[in-house]
Formats: sequence, C-alpha cells, structure tokens
Amino acid sequence: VNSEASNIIDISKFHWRREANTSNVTAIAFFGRVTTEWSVRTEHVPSGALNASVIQRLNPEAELSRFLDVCSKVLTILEKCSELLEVRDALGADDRLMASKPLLTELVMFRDISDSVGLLVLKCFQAVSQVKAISDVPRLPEVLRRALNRLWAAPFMEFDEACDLADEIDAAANPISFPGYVELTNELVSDARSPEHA
Amino acid sequence: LAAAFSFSSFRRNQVIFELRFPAAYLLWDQSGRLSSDIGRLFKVFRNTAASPGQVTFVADDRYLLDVMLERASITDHKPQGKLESMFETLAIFAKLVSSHLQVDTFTRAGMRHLYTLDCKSAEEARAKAQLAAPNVLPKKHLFGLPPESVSPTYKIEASDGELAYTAQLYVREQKMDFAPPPDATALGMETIQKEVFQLVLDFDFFTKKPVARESFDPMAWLTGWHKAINKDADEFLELAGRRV
Repeated sequence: VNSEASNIIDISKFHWRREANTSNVTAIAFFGRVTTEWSVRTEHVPSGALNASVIQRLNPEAELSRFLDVCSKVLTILEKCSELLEVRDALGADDRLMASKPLLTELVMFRDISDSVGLLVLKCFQAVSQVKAISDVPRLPEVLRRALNRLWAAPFMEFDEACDLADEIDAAANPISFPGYVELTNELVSDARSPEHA
Repeated sequence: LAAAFSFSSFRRNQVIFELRFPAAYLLWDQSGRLSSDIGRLFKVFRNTAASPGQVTFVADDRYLLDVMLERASITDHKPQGKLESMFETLAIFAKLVSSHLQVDTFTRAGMRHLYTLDCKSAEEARAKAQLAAPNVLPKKHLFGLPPESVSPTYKIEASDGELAYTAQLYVREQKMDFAPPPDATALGMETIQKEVFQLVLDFDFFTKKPVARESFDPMAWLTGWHKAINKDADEFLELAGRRV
C-alpha cells in the first residue's frame, strides 16, 4: 500500500489479470493453455451493425442471400403498392399486390432457413392469396411490408416475435368477413355526410 | 507470371472460427448445460479445463473448443476432405454458444484458414518462402555479422469498414516435446520430440462491425469466406512471387 506512512508497495495485494482479447486477428487456440485469470474491460462497441446485404456481397449463392434478394423484390412491390393506396389508386395497388404473389410463392421455398422465416413467409403468402379486393384490406400491404422488412433484417429473429408479426398480418388480412365492406361503408358514410342527403 | 507454388500444393492444416461478444456472464451459470449440448455433436468429447472465465474441450481428436466470457472459438486441427460437415459443426457450435449465453450481438466474427506446405528443415522452408515471396538476399555483413538466412513473409491487409481480411505467407517452425510422467515411462512410453517446418498460407477473414445474432447465419458466412479463399488464393500467391 503506497501511503504517506509507507511507500512500500505490497505486491501480494495485487493479482495478475489477463486482458481481454482485443487483437485484430482470429486467435489460434492451443491445447493445454487455459486462461486461469480473467478480467473484463468495458469496451467501446463500434456503432452501427452489419446488415443483411453484407452476406449477399460475401456469398451471393447462399440460400440466405437468395432469400434476401427475393425478399427485397417483394418489399419494393409492397412499397409501391402502399404508395398507390395512399393516392387512392386501388386498381394500381391491386395490380401490384397480385404481382407480389409469384415472388411470395418463391419465398415459401426458403421456409427452412429458420422457423421465423417459415412462419412469416407462409403467413404473407396466405394473406395475399385470400385478398379479393385490396380495398377490403387497406392496411395489409403496409403490415406485410413491415413484417418482411423485419424478416429481411433479422431472418433468425426469436420465434415469439415472428408470432406477433404473424398475428398482425392475420389482423390486417381479415378485418371483416365479406368483400367490398370497406368501400361500401365508405360510400354509405360519405353519402350520409353529404349535404344533399341532409 | 506464374507463382512458385500453386494453392493446390498447400494442405489445409487448421480452420478456426471465432466469435467475440460483450461479456456473457451467463457462462458462469450455463457452462454445464452448454457442455452437455455441445458434447452431443461429437463421438468423443472431453472437458480439459474449466475456470470461471473459460471452459475448454477437445472432441473427436481434432476439434479444440474454447468458450470464454467474451469470445468462443472452435478449431479444427484436421480439416482435410470435404468441408460441408465441418462447417455444419462449427455453425451449430456458434448457435449453441449464442443461445445458451444469450448473446444478441457479435462484436466480431472471424474465420481463419491455415494452409501448409511441409518441409524437411527450416532451411528448406525458408528457401521455399524465398521462392514464393522473393526478398533481397544480403550479401555483406550487417550489424557486424554475415547474415545466415532470410525468412521472407508477405502480408496483405484489407478492410472496407464492414468486412476485412489479412492474408499472409510465412515460415512456421513448431517444436513439440512430449515427456511422459515417470509412471507412464515405466509402462514403456517414451519421450517424443518432433520438429515441424512449414511454409504457411494464412487467411484471416473477419467482420469490422457488430452483427446481430438474429441476422447472422454462420453457415452462409463460413461458406462465403471459404469461396473467397478458393477464388483468389492463387492470385495472392502470384502477387507474393512478383519482384518489385
């Protein structure tokens, strides 16, 4: 202890610690060498993270890369679909949604990547397949886009999270029991509010 | 311009897969369960050491597995033959470690392949290195003594901020000295001394940014890195052999 009274440092009070491995190389492990002491240094974790596109660059032929490729194509279509719905172009939006069907079929082929992928691609495919008119399910393209976007970023997400997303898709795909309900109610509501009707 | 040695003349000697992560204190609670689950991957599985910060195993007389608070690595010391099943083992190991220790983010994922060309002596290894990566041979006294040998190396480092690699060519000398304890000597076991001289092709691929577990597929990364080696290893050797 180094104090005013004594400047003798008692080395027995110290213990040796091995620093965490922060070197820039992948460490080669040698049999028989064991770290018997340890210490943990709070390291600065670099900001930002690698996104899925990196694996597409590194290994474009991997199943995951092909899945991400198809997934991004579907996302582009759904984005356009949402845009068209916003400007009340139901016909155009419907065309886009129908155009996503073959790609969603293709996505189902990648269901073995993970349980979450399996659940969500099947749910997306089912939801789009049962659409008769997009005006019945105006929230669906946006909900699908959010779910697939998450799947694109995290194909190995926890299954619980995938279940929640699947529930959201279900809710958006089955808001009412018969087709044309939304259009019909909109029409009736607008009629009821029109001055002529009053 | 042809390289002195083609990539096919090297033998795959070691494959290491390493994941680094923020301190995973669950290792203190989970190392037993983790050991049991990892052990199921192998025919022969042996715990060789355990301490608060590290557990080490050997498996099937070829794998060395280390799980520590901040990193986990698996090394295949006999990676010859088809790589598919070995990559699967490495990938499952990574998944087991990350799930048991509840690691959400890998701060670094790295894979290192070592290819070797065996030589009879250190001189032969250095001569081969000189052929593969020519260096200037000193012909006069340096620092008062005549230079006896040169040990050329060649190293390329690259990073784009996301992915990075280090590729190297160098000479490696390994000396193994096995001295059995007296009771084993009494049973006829003898001291073994072995020296190995090799020309080593060392490829280390790694990530420069953290990667989330939920978007990390070890198999895709392992095969991707391996394809990168197969694609450009010969060109690396050719570059190493060029005289400036």
